[in-house]
Amino acid sequence: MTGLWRRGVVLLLLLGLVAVARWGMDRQPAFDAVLTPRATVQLYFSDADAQYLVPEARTLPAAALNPLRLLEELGRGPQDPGLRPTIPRGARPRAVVVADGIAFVDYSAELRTRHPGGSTGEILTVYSIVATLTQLPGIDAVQLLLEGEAMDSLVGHLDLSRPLLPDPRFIAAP
Amino acid sequence: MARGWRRCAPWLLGCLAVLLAAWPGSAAIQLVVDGRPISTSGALMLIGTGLGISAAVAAEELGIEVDDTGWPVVQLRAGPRTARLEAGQLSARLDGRTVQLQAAPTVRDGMLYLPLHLVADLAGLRVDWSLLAGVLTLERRPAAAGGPSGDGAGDGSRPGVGAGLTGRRATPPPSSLVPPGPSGAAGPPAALSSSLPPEPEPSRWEVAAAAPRESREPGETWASPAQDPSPLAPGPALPAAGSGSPPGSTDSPPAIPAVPAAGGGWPTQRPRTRSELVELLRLLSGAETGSTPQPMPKPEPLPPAAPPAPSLPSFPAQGAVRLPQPAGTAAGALLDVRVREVDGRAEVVAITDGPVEVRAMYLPGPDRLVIDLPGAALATGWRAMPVDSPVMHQLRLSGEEEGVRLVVDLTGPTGYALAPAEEHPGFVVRLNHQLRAVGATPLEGGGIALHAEVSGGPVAYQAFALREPWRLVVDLWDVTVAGPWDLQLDSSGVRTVRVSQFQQDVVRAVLELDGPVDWPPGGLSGQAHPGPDGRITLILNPNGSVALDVPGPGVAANGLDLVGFVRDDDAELILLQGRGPLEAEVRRLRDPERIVLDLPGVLLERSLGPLSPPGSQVVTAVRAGQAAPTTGRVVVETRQVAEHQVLFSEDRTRAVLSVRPSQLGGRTVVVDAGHGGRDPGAIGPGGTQEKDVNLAIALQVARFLEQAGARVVLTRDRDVFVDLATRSRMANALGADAFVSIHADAIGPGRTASGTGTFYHPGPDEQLGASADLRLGQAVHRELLQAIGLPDRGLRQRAFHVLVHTDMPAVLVEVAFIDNPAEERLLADPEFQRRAAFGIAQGVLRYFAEGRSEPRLRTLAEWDSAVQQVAADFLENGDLPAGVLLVAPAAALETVSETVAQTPEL
Repeated sequence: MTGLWRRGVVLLLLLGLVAVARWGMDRQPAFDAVLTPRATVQLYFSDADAQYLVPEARTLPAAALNPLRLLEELGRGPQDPGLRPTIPRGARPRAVVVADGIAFVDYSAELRTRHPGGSTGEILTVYSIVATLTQLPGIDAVQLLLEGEAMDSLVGHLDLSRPLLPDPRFIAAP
Repeated sequence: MARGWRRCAPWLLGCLAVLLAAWPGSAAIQLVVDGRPISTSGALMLIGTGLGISAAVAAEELGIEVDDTGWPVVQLRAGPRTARLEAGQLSARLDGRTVQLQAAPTVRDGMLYLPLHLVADLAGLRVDWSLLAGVLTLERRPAAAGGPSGDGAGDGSRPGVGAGLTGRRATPPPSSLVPPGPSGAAGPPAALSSSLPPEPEPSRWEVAAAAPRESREPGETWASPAQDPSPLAPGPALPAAGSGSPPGSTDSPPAIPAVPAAGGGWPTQRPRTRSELVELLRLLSGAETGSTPQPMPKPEPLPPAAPPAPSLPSFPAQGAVRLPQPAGTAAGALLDVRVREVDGRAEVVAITDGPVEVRAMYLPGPDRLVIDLPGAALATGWRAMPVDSPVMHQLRLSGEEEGVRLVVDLTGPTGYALAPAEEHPGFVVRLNHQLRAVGATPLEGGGIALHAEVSGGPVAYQAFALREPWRLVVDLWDVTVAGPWDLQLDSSGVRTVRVSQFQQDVVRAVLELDGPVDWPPGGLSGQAHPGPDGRITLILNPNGSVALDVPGPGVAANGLDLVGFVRDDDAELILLQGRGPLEAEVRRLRDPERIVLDLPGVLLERSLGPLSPPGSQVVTAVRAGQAAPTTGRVVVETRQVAEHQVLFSEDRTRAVLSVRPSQLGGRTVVVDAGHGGRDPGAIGPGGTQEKDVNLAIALQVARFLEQAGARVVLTRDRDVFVDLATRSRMANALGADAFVSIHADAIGPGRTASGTGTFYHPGPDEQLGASADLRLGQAVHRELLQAIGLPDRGLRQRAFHVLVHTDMPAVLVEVAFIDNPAEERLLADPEFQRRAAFGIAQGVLRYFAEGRSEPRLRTLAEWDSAVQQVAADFLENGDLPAGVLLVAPAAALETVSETVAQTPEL
């Protein structure tokens, strides 16, 4: 009797264990969300008039707080329907290396080939990258590259042959 | 029972921990590829009912190309095999076959996961799954593995790039496993095939965040160095500290391994120069395409002693890193080559940014002119340019290390002359006319008409007589003939005509005469204009002692009845009365300073002038003649750079050219039409290309400014690509006084913007509020707004390339938004283009006028109305003002009878 009882308890516990594990697996994202430290960053998008860049907050896992991830988030565009994306569709950040406070940012060719052109459009694209990255500590300036190569300009206006500092004139007053 | 439960509890909890730890989907599964542990903890994930592998790992570790740009469709490629998956779809296509998946591709936590069994099938992987050990082993075919190691496993250069660096598949959570150490104890065979010294590696980003930075605040959310399992001790390998290479290896070229370990670590070797960083990025990015990254050489720090750097045999074909050359550093670059026609002669004009050595030679078969510029650099955006000219059909450029070669492909044997360019550094190649046929016709009374078919005109000639035997010699200047020939004439008076190249630039025709002629001593000279059939005719009449050019029968319907000169106040007017409506193309040329009016469709039966009006301030001579078979020409020579303006009567049969001394004094303005060639600029919804609009406006700005007396150079005068550095170099080489760049703006889809914006950038030594750049910007912005009336987007300071790199006051105008449909229509409208050009030119004039005390510079509009008053009577009624001087024909005409001899066409 006792042996049967004990075996029954073990069996039940094992079953319960499997159930708990299964439940834990299903809820893993939720656990992750609770357990992962998160941080709020600003992504910069264009306002509807293409006059200024407007920050939009994102909460990201702290571990994802790296320039590449921020640029990927920037490329996904704004959530606020009043704002407009600044990165052409299909343009991917390929790599980021930081040295001496300068983030060397390498984008895929689509950043140029799918760009609508115009100096206003170019400023919004370039300075949304600059503004988004320079909020990270240790990044003071941004040097853009295309497919691994330095460029004189993205679409023919801004001088991108040297690193760009953030420019508050392009940021909308809060 | 209670005791039993208590005994069981710890055991059960232990079981639970083990199960959870080993459960698919948790982060602790170890992935081993080709015997090499992959530490990226997010590499595997349970998706659906199967196991998913991170696309980043698939791309970087397994060499599978992942294309998710068409999301939700994901395309995979491994060598010749392809697969097509779609998010949410449990069927996929593998090499064209439909296969069933256990799970659809899924995005989780910002990373894309692909069904492992499909990936394994695609890449031909052997999958070994050991649940107990928590290890998933993927084995590639041996050929797909990394190359043999040159110096063992401890070298630290491993194939594979940290997932955090490349592509959108980002970082692992902080719970990632401890990656292999820098000495590669658990490391794989290195892909290094050359024996480079071991080197610490720069590495992917996420650890970079964790790199010790003093400025970082502890409360921030970055993974801290302690949390991050960075295997590399930071610090000692900083090349700046001189310890980048192992001791004793300073004489061998240190390589940037540039290929971070899979586990990652912040670059403990900080790349030394920017080009190294760029190279590093290129390598990292290139690795994403799935090929095995190779170690790469870095720029030689010790040039003489260092052995040659290893090449990159298997690196994906991406061009070498090209940093744009800083403007103005390399002297003697060829910036552009242009073709123009001056007085009927074709010229090739080369613009350089400094003095260049020029070596030219003519080569036959095919006829071409080869011009070498040793030591020069090539900065043009084109390599071949077709040319519409009677004497050449193409220009070709090539740049080698030794210099630049310009080839002018000629249509036939053509002489040339080299001269330095007047307006800018560079040179001019003047091409001769080609003499294609010669004929002679005896005239009544013993004279003779010599016909010459030439490729252009007018042609300068000189005719004189020689005695015993009696000959008439006719020299045609700046003409080349393919070979000598004799022409037998059975006419009284002239027996033969011999034609040959007398000097490099002179074709000589010798007419053997029967007997003595009465010919003026010193001979006759002048200019012969080609007739509508392209022939020039010289009437050589020994008895009448005249030599005349006579156009053949006319095809041009229009003509000029009158060319007159009259002075009114400080303006000097040239009056033209046409037989029909006139069109005029006005140019200003130098040496001598002159204004040339080309009148298409106009035939002048005879050359007029020259008339030298006495007491004039500006005009020294007025003459008229035939420029081309169907184009008449009026030339006004001036004492100095002159403002000029052409006005027409309502029916356009009368025209007035007004000339005044210019108050600009020949200031140089560079007009820059944005984009061009392969760079169309922004494109409107209706398909209008920005480059075309920019050029159309720029050409008109140039014309307005030339009218006002400015010397104008366009950075491009046609649809050609010119890079940004070349534009500013051109302006700097010219020593220009102002630079105006013309653009049209765009902001991208989904919204519209409207209006005109003007941009400037103060020079390095200028104060922000008082710079010449700002004053130029204000003047241009105000006048442009006034001229076209679009919304004002303001005058702003921007670090645009052409504004930063030009040494003179510079301004960039965005005339309107080409991606706004309404403004696109405006920009494509020639009348709007003209108004915009007028406003821009007016602004430049106003800028030059500022700061001048006296006299005040007239605006184009004021000037327009002033001229109209003076010339109103003539324009409205054809009344000739008092004191008008008529430009008279050079001489009377002779009639020409039939041709008796004609050379064959050459």
